[in-house]
Amino acid sequence: MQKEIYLLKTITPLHIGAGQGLGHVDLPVVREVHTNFPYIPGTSLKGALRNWEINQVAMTIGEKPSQVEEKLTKGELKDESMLRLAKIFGVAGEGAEEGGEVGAGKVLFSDGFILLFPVKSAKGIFSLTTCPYAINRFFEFVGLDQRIKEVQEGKVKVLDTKDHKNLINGKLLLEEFIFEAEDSQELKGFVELLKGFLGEENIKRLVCVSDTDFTDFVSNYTEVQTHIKIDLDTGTVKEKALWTEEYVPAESVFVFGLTFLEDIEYSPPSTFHLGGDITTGKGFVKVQRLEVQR
Amino acid sequence: MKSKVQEVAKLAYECVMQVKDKDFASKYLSYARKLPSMITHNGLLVTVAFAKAKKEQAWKTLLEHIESFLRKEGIKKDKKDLIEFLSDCEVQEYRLITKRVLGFSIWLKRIAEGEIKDEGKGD
Repeated sequence: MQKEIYLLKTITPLHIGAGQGLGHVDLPVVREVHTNFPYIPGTSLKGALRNWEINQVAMTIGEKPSQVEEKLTKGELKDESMLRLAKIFGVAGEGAEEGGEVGAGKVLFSDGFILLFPVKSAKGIFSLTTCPYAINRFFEFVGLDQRIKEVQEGKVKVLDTKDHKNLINGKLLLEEFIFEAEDSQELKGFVELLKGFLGEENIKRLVCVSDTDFTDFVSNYTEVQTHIKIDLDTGTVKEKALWTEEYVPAESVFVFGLTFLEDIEYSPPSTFHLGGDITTGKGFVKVQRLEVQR
Repeated sequence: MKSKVQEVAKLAYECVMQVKDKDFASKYLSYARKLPSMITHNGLLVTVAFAKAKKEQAWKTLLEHIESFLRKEGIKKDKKDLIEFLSDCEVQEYRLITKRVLGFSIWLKRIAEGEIKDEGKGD
């Protein structure tokens, strides 16, 4: 059994819907119950990746994706590529019944939880905010025995105040809130882990705010877009066709894990589409495996 | 024993019922619809300042309703003007108030949509 950790960055805004909302947004994004943080359900990940793999196989063997899926459910796995698909994502329906050779998938997809959330900054475009809870959860998830102490309200921790993109005389202005920044060597291990994925520039945008401030940011500063439908005949807005939709902003970073119950050659593509509205440019994500030295 | 939601919903209901038969009811509905997203997009202070600047009965009434909510919740006890009151509080408190008023404004919107007839008089 082998566990792999992946980092996922949203290149365009991401909408994984929670159905009809009754609050100020008509179509909100899914959020964890206990934190109110946006997250990526394992089902969304697995579904999107399964879709991608099925399309690849369909293109190779010159069939429609639906035909490939039908073969999967019927358990017709003579083909090498079909067997691989079945092993990764499992087989439902008839294929699983007749003493089929696969049954449930051999790769476990975890939910993806949020690690970094971009917030508008007065200097340097945006900051990548995180908080002790998110960092410690990440450490626990990857199996590292490190922990970050809490941050006082109104303060932020950064690795190096001299080499930071967002600070103005040691202060940080995010949306309409001012924070005082202090150097913290505590973040060193965390920053080292993310450097390869984020790149030199974005690492300098990393700030650790307090848990409460972070909750505030992910609750109130997601992207909300207003949509309408145009009446084809009049060219104006159709009656009763105005709604708002919420997105996790671009540049957000999530973490998820894959656990392999068997030895299978599989890794997600480096970029793919996830969630809703993908035909209108949403949900384009970048994924990279994280090597952790324990 | 009542839950917070019940209390907030009851107050919102009472507020909407006051304006239901007034001549500006349709405008009130249209503004109550906008209020929650205005608060989330622009912040509470900006929204209150905007509403005051409008000098319209419907906006004025909405502001009174927000004020009565803050009083009922025991958040605002002084006679200060709403803008002054909001500018004077500590940032953490301001955020909490924003959250609470947002919750209340969503109730106003919900109930207004159910109780007031939409005559399309809003802007």
